[in-house]
Amino acid sequence: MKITDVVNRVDTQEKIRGAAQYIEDIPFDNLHYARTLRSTLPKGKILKVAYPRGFPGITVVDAGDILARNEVSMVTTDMPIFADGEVNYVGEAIALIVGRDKDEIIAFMKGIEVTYDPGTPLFTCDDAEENLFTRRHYSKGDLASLEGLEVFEGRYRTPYQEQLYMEKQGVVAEVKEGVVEIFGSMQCPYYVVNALKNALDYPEEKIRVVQTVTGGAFGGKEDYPSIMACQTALAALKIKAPVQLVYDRREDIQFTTKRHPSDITIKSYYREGRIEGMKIDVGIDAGPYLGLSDVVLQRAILTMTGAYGVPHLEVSGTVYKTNNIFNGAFRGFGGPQSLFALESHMSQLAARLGVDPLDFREKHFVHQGELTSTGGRFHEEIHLEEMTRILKEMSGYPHLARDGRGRLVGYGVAVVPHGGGFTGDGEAEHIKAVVKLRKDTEQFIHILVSNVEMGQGALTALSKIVASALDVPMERIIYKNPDTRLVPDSGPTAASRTTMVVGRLLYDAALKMKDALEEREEVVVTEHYHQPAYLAWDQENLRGNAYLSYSWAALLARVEVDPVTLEVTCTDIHGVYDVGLPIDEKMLLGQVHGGVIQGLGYGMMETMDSKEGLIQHNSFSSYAVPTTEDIPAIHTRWLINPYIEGPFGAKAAGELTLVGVAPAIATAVADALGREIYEIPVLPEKLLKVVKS
Amino acid sequence: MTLEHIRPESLHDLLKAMDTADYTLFAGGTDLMIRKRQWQGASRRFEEPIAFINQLKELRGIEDLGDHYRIGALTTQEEMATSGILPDYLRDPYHQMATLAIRNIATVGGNIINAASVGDSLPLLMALDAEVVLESLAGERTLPVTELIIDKYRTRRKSNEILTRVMIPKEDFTGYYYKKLGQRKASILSKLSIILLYRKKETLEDLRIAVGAVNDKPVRLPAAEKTLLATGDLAGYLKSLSEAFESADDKRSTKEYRETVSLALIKQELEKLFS
Ligand SMILES: Cc1cc2nc3c(=O)[nH]c(=O)nc-3n(C[C@H](O)[C@H](O)[C@H](O)COP(=O)(O)OP(=O)(O)OC[C@H]3O[C@@H](n4cnc5c(N)ncnc54)[C@H](O)[C@@H]3O)c2cc1C
Repeated sequence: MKITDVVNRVDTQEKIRGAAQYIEDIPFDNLHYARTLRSTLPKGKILKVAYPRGFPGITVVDAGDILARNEVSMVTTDMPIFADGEVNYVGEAIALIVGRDKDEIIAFMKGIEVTYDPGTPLFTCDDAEENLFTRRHYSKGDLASLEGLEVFEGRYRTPYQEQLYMEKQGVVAEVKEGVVEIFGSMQCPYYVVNALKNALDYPEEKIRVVQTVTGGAFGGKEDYPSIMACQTALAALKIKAPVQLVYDRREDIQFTTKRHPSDITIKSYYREGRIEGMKIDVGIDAGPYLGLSDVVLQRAILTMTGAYGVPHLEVSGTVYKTNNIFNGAFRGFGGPQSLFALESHMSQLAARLGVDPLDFREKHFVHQGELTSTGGRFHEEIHLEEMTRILKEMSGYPHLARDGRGRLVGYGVAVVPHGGGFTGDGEAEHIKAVVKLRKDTEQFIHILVSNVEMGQGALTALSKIVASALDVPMERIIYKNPDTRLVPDSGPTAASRTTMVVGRLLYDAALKMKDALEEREEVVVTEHYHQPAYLAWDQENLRGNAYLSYSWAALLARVEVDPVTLEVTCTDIHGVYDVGLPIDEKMLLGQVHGGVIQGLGYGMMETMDSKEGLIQHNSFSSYAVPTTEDIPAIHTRWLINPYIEGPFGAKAAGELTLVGVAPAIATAVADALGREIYEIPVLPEKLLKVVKS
Repeated sequence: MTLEHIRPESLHDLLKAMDTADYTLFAGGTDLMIRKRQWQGASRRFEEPIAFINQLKELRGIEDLGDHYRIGALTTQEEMATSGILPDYLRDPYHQMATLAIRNIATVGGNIINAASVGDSLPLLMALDAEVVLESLAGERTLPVTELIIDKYRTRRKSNEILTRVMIPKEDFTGYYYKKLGQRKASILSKLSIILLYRKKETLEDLRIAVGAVNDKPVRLPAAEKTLLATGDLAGYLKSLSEAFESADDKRSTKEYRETVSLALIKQELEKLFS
């Protein structure tokens, strides 16, 4: 087959028919259930946990059952598997209560009494010493030389966002012949392996992690499954039976990782309609443990100048430690926060200067060959002017109709990048991806990677790449959910890297296999990741090429605002995307539509408040995400710009489609109302305050 | 002694059972299944035995009895929304409730007895001066919806009574305004709802206004409506309404928004009517 052939996704049939088995559907002999005993305090010492008597079927698994280390290893190791003597957020796991009968577990849990010595929790991000996790900084040019220029400063805030995958978090742990086996809904099987190695002090041979059909993840199943795997592994080892831990929806919404709330200040120094310098300060709330937050912060600050070349820069960022919920990965990974702030700022300054927001952006666009904000070079072709031209053409810009039949009409734009793959030299230094292709004696070709299908289409995309590279029908490709006993570590399913990085390794492997394709015996080809020689990164000082490559999107949103109720309707999103060569248009449209909808929820309606460290919007009825009635007409065009390192020229796509949507919509609402907006979501309740002020 | 869940074949059997013990009546179950939720796979949190009532066909159906509509308590929201008998002002609010799948099972009686502050049928029924019929083994009694509802989740129904039907007086309204506001466009609980019904021929002859999801119980001010009709004093009416509001900030909206926007919307509609 050819990469241009139209295919259907290989996993849709079994999902639509209901045949797919999610972790909760899979039978295990003698399966025990676990429920988490959670802290009810945001901070305190645990003085005593009194358990009721008379429950022979119940086992408690807690910090006393730790085998090697009470650490969930994920970049850092600061989070305990079970609270040991102290709690640091509401919902922190104190123990797993394990039994065969769920009603008995509930009855047991009603009788538990935890006595605390309450501490003083921190809920806000201020600069008190005990409130800081990490600080990062980089600069470019000489911002001080711009003293005396005109300045415009804005402070932007973004909220929590919940991934709201359809399938809740869930794992089963089982011990078989001394091997700890984890089955579950996850993005990164080898993260789980590594967390278990650290927690149990087991060699890799004694650990097996199998991804089960995963009903959505969006980053929420990047780090979190490691916590559940460590807990259930200890439980399974203790009771010598398989243990299932599947969260309730409310539990999942309230106590698993969210998108980091942010507070970003941008101060622009400008002259003759051009920004000469920016001073940027980014703060994100990590919750009580660092986890992935420093990595999120890095992407946030490295994305801060977006699609623009700014000669003089001072960018700093802080990860704050609080006793709010523990935050983690979510599609965009720091980008949505930065780009909301930056794109709002650009439109605000354009409006203040009385110039067209797209023309204003165009003046600042980066170009091939120029230096990035961290002193790396843009190696690839960049076609932002052309993308803007297409955007204008498809939307009729600038002659945009203002007639809303009684409603206020507004337009907003955003032009955004997304850096593909891990930040800096993460791919080469930390991930070191390995992939294998195996041709069996029946002439089937097996894709052996640790990347997962989580609804985004990885099974189809990678199969299509291999089939096209080999010019064989897709039916000859076999790609199963990864089992770490069978597949090498090709890295996590995150950072929009699967098609671009892993797909390329598979493409190379396929080319090597091509000559051996008709041989009778088994053939195995292994490929290792190598960073292109033209890229360099200094992690200590954040200097060099922050990303392998950049994907780009230019968006225009049209909104209507009811002048009385201030309800916002987003009627249209026009988007032009440069994702290199779209290797499958249908699947990419799926990413665009999903990204637009998730970004629209983030920008317009998804509200999540925390009170004393407890998430208030904890159910489908209070945490409102868009339904089909809220979805605008989505107009999509591609700019074809093949990326030399990508398979068939493909670049990152998954996160790009989300990151620019909220600022496009928010600036459109600002345009409709003739006011500036500094906070999302643009709820009517908040607009009422904006209009009244 | 633990009682068994029952599924009586007739209303009489049900009333007999209810006379001897407390049962949780289970109609469509769309409120109950959520209120009694429990860890998936464990037993739901029903403290009392359940009496399933959906099979009682005699409690279902919409009839036009000349001067009023008679609605069986087990009539579904979707039957209301798509009825060929009922006028639009009655169908529209039901049509905007929940989603088709829920409307197909959720009942008229359940929405009333549940008495949620966000129950969308309550402002409508209060504006229409609807009455409910409650029946026990001892007999029937009739109560205006306004009296039945005490406040959030509380009604004057006694534990041995079942709501059998709703009686809605027929009025020749010439127009209505219904607005439901939620956190999104569909499939969402109200953060505010307004029903305004009127009869305007040469002059404005009748006018009813009810506001839902602001207070614990929908707000309707019949005396202020009469004054408004007689005097045309919009400001006076809006002031009474504003004084009656006792909203609070919650997960769905704010006090400021609910009160400001409901007054603004009603003012806008009244200005059209009185112009
Ligand atoms: C996804 C979803 C969306 C929803 N959206 C809306 C919405 O937009 N607007 C809205 O108003 N509601 C909404 N609801 C709530 C619900 O659908 C309604 O309140 C429904 O009308 C309840 O009817 P039921 O038959 O399901 O009640 P049940 O759950 O069976 O019962 C509710 C209560 O009423 C009692 N009861 C029921 N019938 C009788 C009777 N005949 N006599 C005495 N007591 C009785 C029960 O004992 C129980 O206490 C939604 C619910 C869900 C799950």
